[in-house]
Amino acid sequence: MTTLFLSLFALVTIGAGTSLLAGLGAARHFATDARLAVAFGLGCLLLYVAVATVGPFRLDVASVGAIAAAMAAMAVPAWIGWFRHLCRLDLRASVQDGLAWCRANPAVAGLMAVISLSLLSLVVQGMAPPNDYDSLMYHIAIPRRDLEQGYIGPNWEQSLFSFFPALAEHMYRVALVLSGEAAAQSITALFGIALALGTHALARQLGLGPVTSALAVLMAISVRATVWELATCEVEAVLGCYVVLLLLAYLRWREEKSLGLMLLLGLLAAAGVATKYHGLTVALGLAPLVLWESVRRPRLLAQVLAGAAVALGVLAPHLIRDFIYTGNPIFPVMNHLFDPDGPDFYRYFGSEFGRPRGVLNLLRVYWDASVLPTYYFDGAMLGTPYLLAFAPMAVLARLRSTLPLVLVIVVYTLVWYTTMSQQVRFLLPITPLFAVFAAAGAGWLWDNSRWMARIAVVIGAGALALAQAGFVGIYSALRLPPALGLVDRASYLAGTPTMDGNFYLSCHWIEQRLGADERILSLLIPHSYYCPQSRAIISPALPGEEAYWLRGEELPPLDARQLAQALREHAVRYVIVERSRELRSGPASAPRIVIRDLSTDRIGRLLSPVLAQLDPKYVDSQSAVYDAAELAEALDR
Amino acid sequence: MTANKQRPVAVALCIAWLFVVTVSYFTYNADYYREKTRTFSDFIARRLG
Repeated sequence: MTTLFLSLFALVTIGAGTSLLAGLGAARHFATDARLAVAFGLGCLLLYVAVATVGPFRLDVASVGAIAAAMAAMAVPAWIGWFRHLCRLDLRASVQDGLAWCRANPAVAGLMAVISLSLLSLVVQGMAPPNDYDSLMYHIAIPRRDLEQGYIGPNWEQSLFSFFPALAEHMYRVALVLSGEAAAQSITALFGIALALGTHALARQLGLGPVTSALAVLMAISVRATVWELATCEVEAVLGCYVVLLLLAYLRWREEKSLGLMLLLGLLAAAGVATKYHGLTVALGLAPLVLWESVRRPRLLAQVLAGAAVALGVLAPHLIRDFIYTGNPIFPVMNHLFDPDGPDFYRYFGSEFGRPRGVLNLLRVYWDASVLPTYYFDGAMLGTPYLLAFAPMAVLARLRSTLPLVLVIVVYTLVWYTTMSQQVRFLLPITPLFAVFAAAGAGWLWDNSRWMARIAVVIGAGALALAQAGFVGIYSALRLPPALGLVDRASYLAGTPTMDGNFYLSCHWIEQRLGADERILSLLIPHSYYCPQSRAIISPALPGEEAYWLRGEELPPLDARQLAQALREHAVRYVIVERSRELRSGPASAPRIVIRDLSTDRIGRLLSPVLAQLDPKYVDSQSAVYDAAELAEALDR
Repeated sequence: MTANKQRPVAVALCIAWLFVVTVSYFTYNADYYREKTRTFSDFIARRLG
């Protein structure tokens, strides 16, 4: 079922995207690899706009099915074209040609085989149960909540996450409605395939040969966090795909200067922003080049304005929604500009994630992010430093059109360094660009080395490649068995560590017993995707208080009797409490157990004294589930 | 790819850089790899009974 859904998803999005690309008159500017990747990216953008427009009113099989049918209708002309092409194809001759090509190009064929296997493995790995922190907290938890309630809501209970750009999340909503969670994660792997095709096209555009272009793809999809994310519902690698497609479109526009390509540029820039606000930074990196072209040739100004208008139009559903609910169209970014008395949601970055932000540290930022394991907040996200080792060598390879890539890297790095939380994971969107440079550098070094030097290169690069293969292999070893049904869901989720825990067993216990009109009170941090979502009251806010954080307000005082009354009034059947979590931060990544201190939580401090008097209905090392009626009675005493 | 222009100084500098990065990485991450090796050995030992 999941495989069927994914096949149809790819057919519909690529088909609709191809039709749009043809409508823009831009298809002829791209080779097959780039055309397929751009069509997929555009198809997903169309789906996003449709879900963002219809979803706030209705999110169910009927509404999503109607959107899918409309997109399929749009894809029909492309399908007819593919069918005609297939009819003309001499299959036997094509296979023979392919085999002859492989024999003539063994290095490229070998690299392509490894890349294909890796991508196929990621599609399958996506079918394992979700088990990563951000997805369990919001990337797939909020879509599940929306599916339960039948519309895309503001979901104040989930804090500001409900107001982030949601291109990828809307794909997950479609997957949840029409198929299931396995399909949701595998859609990210489909973006990985588009990323691979796009990176290949970009490398060719810069003048890399067939081997180094294939190497660039392998380097791009082997970054540790990229491998991890491409089988989850996280979105940085998806943004990376749109960054590559945007650069491809820009490089073509720079040569052709056609209106269709400028509109495509606007669409892809908007798609990046709609995936994650960090996409604004990428657009900012390209903006000076586009503006410079229009200064040199003023007739292009109308084109540029048209591209910007299209981008704004695509983003309109998101901007309007955020403005209606929060007064800030790009909520929560720059919130103090739109709500001077409201909170600045990123003010804590300096203290919580803080690292030195001086010039000297900026100059060595990629050394620190690549070599030092825990210098930046989220640790060794890149795996081994092969990008750092080879990318600088690209200055020796004579590449074409590198300025746009360099400008995007520099602007993105500056913004990442000065204004963001400096998580290495947030650098993922620009790692494909580093991969292109690293492959060019490695190719130059190989081409210019004698046999002694080549042995040294093989030793150095081999050590990095072997250790990186370890990261890639471990993720496969973890996720393939549950994805293929060799390990059951409960064993996988109970036995595989994830940051702060997934709480699958306790949530599943509740799911099996909770009545349709009953609710739970959750003191889990984060409230897990595996628990009921729309029937959950998430501490510290009670129903009616959920939006307290929007204006930075304090919650009103709460005493034990009021809490007991709230539990009865809102038909709370169970209360789920986190007991401990396993942390693995630190250079050695060794696990340590931390006991949850409930006394710091508004509701937890009231529950804490009475929990000891009661027997939990369910308990494991991470969490416990209590009967709400018994708790209310104890709170009243 | 074929060997073409020989640029010995640039090649030597590139290889030196490759080894600086590689050796630094494994040195700074020695604790991590030691811990993972220990975990893996424990896992194999448990499997072998």
